[in-house]
This record gives sequence, structure tokens and C-alpha cells, in this order.
Amino acid sequence: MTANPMESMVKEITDVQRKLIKGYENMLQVKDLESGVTPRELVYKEDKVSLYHYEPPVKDVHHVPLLVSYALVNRQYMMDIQHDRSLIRKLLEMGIDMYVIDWGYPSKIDKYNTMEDYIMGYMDNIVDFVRQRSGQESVNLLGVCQGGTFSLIYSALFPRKIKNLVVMVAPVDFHTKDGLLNVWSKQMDVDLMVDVMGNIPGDFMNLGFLWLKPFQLIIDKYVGLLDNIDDPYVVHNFLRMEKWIFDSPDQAGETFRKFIKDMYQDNKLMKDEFVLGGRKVSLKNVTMPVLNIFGEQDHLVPPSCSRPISELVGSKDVTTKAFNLGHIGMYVSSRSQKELAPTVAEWLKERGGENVAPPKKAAAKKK
Amino acid sequence: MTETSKTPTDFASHWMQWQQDFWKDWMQNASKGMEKFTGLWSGHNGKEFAGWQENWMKSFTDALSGSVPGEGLGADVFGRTMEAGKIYTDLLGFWTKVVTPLTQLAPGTPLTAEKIEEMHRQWNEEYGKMMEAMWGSMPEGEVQDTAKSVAGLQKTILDYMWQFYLPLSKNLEEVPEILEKAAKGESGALIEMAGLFRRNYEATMGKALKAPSMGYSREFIDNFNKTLDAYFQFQAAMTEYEALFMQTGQKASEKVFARLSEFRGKEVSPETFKEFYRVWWTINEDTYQELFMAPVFLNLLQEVLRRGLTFRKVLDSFTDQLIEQTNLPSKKDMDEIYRAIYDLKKEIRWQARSIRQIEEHLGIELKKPAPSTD
Repeated sequence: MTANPMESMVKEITDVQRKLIKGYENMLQVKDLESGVTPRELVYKEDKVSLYHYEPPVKDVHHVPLLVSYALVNRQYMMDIQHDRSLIRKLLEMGIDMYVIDWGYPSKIDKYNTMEDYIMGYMDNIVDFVRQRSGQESVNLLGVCQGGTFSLIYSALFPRKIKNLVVMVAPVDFHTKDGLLNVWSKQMDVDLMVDVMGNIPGDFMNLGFLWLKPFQLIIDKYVGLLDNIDDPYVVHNFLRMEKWIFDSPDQAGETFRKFIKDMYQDNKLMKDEFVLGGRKVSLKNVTMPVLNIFGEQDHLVPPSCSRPISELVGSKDVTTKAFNLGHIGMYVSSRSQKELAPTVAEWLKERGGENVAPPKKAAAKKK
Repeated sequence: MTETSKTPTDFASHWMQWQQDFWKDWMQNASKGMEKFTGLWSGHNGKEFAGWQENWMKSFTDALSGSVPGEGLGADVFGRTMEAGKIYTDLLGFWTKVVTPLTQLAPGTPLTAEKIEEMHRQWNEEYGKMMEAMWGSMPEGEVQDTAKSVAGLQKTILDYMWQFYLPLSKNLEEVPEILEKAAKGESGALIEMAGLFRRNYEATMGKALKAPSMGYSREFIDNFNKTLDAYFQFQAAMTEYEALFMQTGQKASEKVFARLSEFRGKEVSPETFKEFYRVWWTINEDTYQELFMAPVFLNLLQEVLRRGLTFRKVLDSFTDQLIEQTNLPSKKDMDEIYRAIYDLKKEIRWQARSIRQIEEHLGIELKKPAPSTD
């Protein structure tokens, strides 16, 4: 026991209050922060869906462009959240010509949008646009999280249009027991939810994500910030992440209904029973080279949900890469910048042919 | 691009006032003699310090949270940080008040059964207060927002409830017995209490609200009653759900209590508190994770969702009935419009694709309007 324990306790609480005041000043000055940091160009728009082109800042550019399909839940700028933590920037520096889909914010008028509309409509139109713009018969596709599941489905339906497929933290087996989302969704009365709510509110989705680790995500994360709350750099980076976490678009009701029922409840893709737009979707039709990447510490899409992809696809060229990262760490951690981005770039280049000069700019297109 | 604004000027005066109060408090305590604090962690002095510290933290958090302007990313995140900070300081208060005196008992002090029981009682009492404060600060989500959206109806609901009060109160005779069980630390008592409210409701108000009405405004009253019934069903489910949460908190509390011996004899320092904090939140996280996987929770979660959604469905239908008397479009009308627009867009998309295929087939390109990005 110290001679005067009160002294150390008073010092502790006065330190905390001093930091809080500084943090208060730092934080309140920020009304908003940019969504994504790398320069980009809007090249295509259809309804609320946009396509952005990112030009590589290097001379030697890989001739097959990479199209990125992110999840409908949360926003794609997580992959470009700050200058020193941008998966997109890293891939561009490695000569990958990139296009990224922004699914937008569905409103009530979009409540009837189905998975078919997203995958066989918007996504297919975008793939055709990128093929046409780049002059390539087929393009590379990178699907992230739910966007990875969408990309698998798309590649199974339109295998000729996809040269190489990269899936990152993409769930395919929804009946594993080590994911709380899997367990919670199994009994959900999704018909009642969609019938009553129309679109599923982003706040509702967020609440579910926070409750996966309530004490860590609602308390400890912020308590941890107190140690560095007087450092403007730390605070700004924290704010960027907070913006992304709480920037959750509403989910188009009909898409949510089918995704929960067919994936989480009936596991149809895994069982080779999934049908979209009247067409059977068999992962055996995914015959192009596949890179399957997942995080060993992922609590949203546990490894067991993604690992089976490597076995289910019909491709003879399958590479599986597990990184010792969590779901968010896959996009923003320093290891992601150092290891994950080079893994993707090199894997694509090995399967893509020669490099070319940077693509010429073309006029934007609106459907 | 980063948008910025100046820190609100009223904060400075808020802060100065708080500092003044704090130092005044400090001087008053100090003038009683610093020797009081040298034996800080023994006997009543420790409690005095804890009380002072608790007030100090409370005045501090109140000063800050009272002046946080409501808009913008920074303000939102600062608000969340303050909420978490409050829980942290509540835990610090709990630690100084309850944990530290227990862990600082002189070596060799015998721990009798009575002493342990007293420690346990005090622990439960203070821990309960802290957890109640904590769950009160959790985000509430869509389901509870739905209930709040009818806040205007609450007075009417309360008036309506009054006429059913007597039979309801008669059925509440069991409550004291259950409260006694709860006081003795029987964790099942909370669940029992929640179940009692549901049974009482079904036996009294529920029956009346479900009974068909008669007369000129029959349809309106029936719909109103249905809405009230759905609201109470939802509240009943929420009560059971919250009771399960509290029960789990109690379970976690016991686990944390069981780890107290690890802290016995450790010096009182911020590091020791941080260690205790880490033990506290990780045990709670694990205990709630177990709950979230348990069938009893899954069933209740579905029940709360189902009741909440049913309430919203009935409320929408009731609102539509009111709107029908006006020139405003009802939810049903809007759904029809959304559907029609969706079908049209789908048709256009299909036609555009067909035209593109025909163009490709014929090797021609039809003249189209100039593309734009707006």
C-alpha cells in the first residue's frame, strides 16, 4: 500500500479530466469527415447505385481492371478510410486499376428491390460497363463480406464475364454455430419484419452488431480512447472509424428477406439449392481462379463461414489465405496494408497477363 | 473535406463554475485535516473519500455532458465517450466504495461468515445500482423507438389504464413475497416478477381490451383497443427481456465477486483499478455472450421482436384508419405507389437491356440522350 494512495488517485482523475477537456475541444471542432480519402471519379450511376473509378498513380498498370463489390450493410469507404490505412490506395500503388461500387442509401421507394435486382440488374450492368470501358472481355472481381457472397453468386451466373474472383471475409456457410449473427438470424421472423418495417433500418442492424460484443464496443472502446483523447491525430482517426461504424444504410426490405431466409435460415448456397431470378445458382459454375481470404479473428464472419468456399467452387485454381486479423482489421490494420494488399495484387498479376498504360478517362454514364 | 466549427463559448463558463465548486469542496475537506486521508482506506475515512470522489466525478461529467452541443460527428462521438466514461467512473466509485475496503483488510483479519455475508450484501446493493445505471445508457434501437413514437398517446393510455387499476392491484398481492425473495438474492425472483405482470395483464386489462365493443364508433374503438393491447403485450415482453438482462448482470456480479481475492493486499492505485475494470468487463462480456447463445434468450429476443413489430403493425393500421378521413395518402397508398414505381423501373431496365442486345446483334448504335452525372 502506498504512503498516500489518495495522491495517486487524485492525480489519476485529474489527468483524466484534463484529457477529457482537450478531447472535448478536439472532437467538437469536427462536424464531419470525408468518406474515403483517395481521389476518384464517378463514371456510372443507376438509381442510387454509383460506380467510382480510381486511377493508379503508377506507369505500369495491370490491364484487367478490378471491380470491388462491398456489402450492402455499411459503406465501402472502410477500404479507403485514411491515407495510411487504405487498402484501395495500396492496390492502386501496385498498379491495379480499380472500380468500386457504392450501393447508396436505399429509401422507402427502394423497399421492393430484390437480390435479383442487385445482382442480375445493377451488378451485371456495372460489369458490362467496366468491360466495355476497359475493352476487356472479362474483369477481375473482388467481393467483400456480403458483397463477397453476391460476387460468388454473380460469378456462378455469369462466369464468362469474370476473369479472376477474389472473395474477402465472405460468408457462404451460414449454419456454423460460432457466429452470433448466424444464431440470432435463424429464428428471426423476417416476413413480419419486412412486412411491417419495409426497409430494415440501419440503426437496427447497428444495434445487432454492437451487441455481438457489448462491453467491448459500447464501453471499453471509448474508455481506451481516454488514454489518447488529447491527441488530435488519434481522435481524428477514431472519429473516422466511428463515422463508418454508425454510417449504416437501411436495407432494401425484399433483399433482406431473401438474404436472411435463403442464406441464414436455409443455407441454400451451401446446399446447392439457391435460385435467383428463376436460375439455379451452383457454385460449381465458379470456374475462374478464386482467391479466398478470411480473418482468423473475425467475429462477424467467422472463418468457418468462409473457409468452405474453397471446396464448393468448381475452379481448379483456388488459393486460400487466412490472416490473423479481425473483420475490420482486414481493411485497416497495418498488416492488411503490408501483407493483404500485396497478396491480392500479386495473385491477380500472376493470372492476368501484361501491364498496360493507365486507362484513358471516359465520360460518365447514367442509366 | 473536413468541416470544422468553433468550440462553444458557453463551455468555458460552465467549466470555470465547476472548477470553483470543485476547489471549494476540496478546501472544505482539506481544512478538516489531511491526517484524515493518511489512513484513507480503513474504516469510515475510506467511505468519506469515496463519497467525495463520487460527487467530484458526478459534477465533472454533468458539467461536460450538460454543455455538449447536439450536432455533428465529433459531438456524437463525444456523447458516446461520455456515456462510456460515466460507466467507467461509476465503476471507479463502486471500487473505492466497496471493493477497496474489502481488499485492504489487514493481513490476518479473520473473515467470519457474518462479515462475508455483510460484504456480499453491500456488494450486491451497490453493484445493482451501477448496472442499472449502465443498462439505462445502452442504445435502445428500433424496437424501443417504436414504442417511444407513441409517446403522445401515453397520457391517454394512462387514463385508460386507471379504470382497470383496481382488479390489477388485487392481483399484485403476490408482489411483496417476490420482492422479499429478490432481497434475499434469489436471482429467479426478477423473472417471476416479470411473469406475474404478464399474467395479471392477461387476466384483467388484456381481457377487456380484446373484448369487442359496440355502437357508433365501434370500429375505431376496436382498433384503438387493439393498439393498446399490442402496446402492453410488447411492454410485457420487454419487461421479461430486461429482467433476463438484469439476472445475467447478477450472475456476472457473482463471478466478479469470486475474483475479489486476487485483489486482496494489492496497493490502491490507478493500475489496480484498471486491472479490476478489465476483470469486470471481460467477465461481463463472457457472461452476456453465454446468454446471447442460450435458447431462453433467443426465444425472448424473438418474442420481443414479434410483439414490437405486431404493435407497430396494429399502430400503422390504426393510423391509416385516421388518415383515411383526410386527404393525405395512407401507408397503404404509398406502398402501392412504391410498388408501381418499382415495376416501372424494372420494365425500363429490361427494355434497355433488350435494346442493347438488339444493337449488338445488328451491329448498330441507336441515338440516345447525352449521358450526365447529375
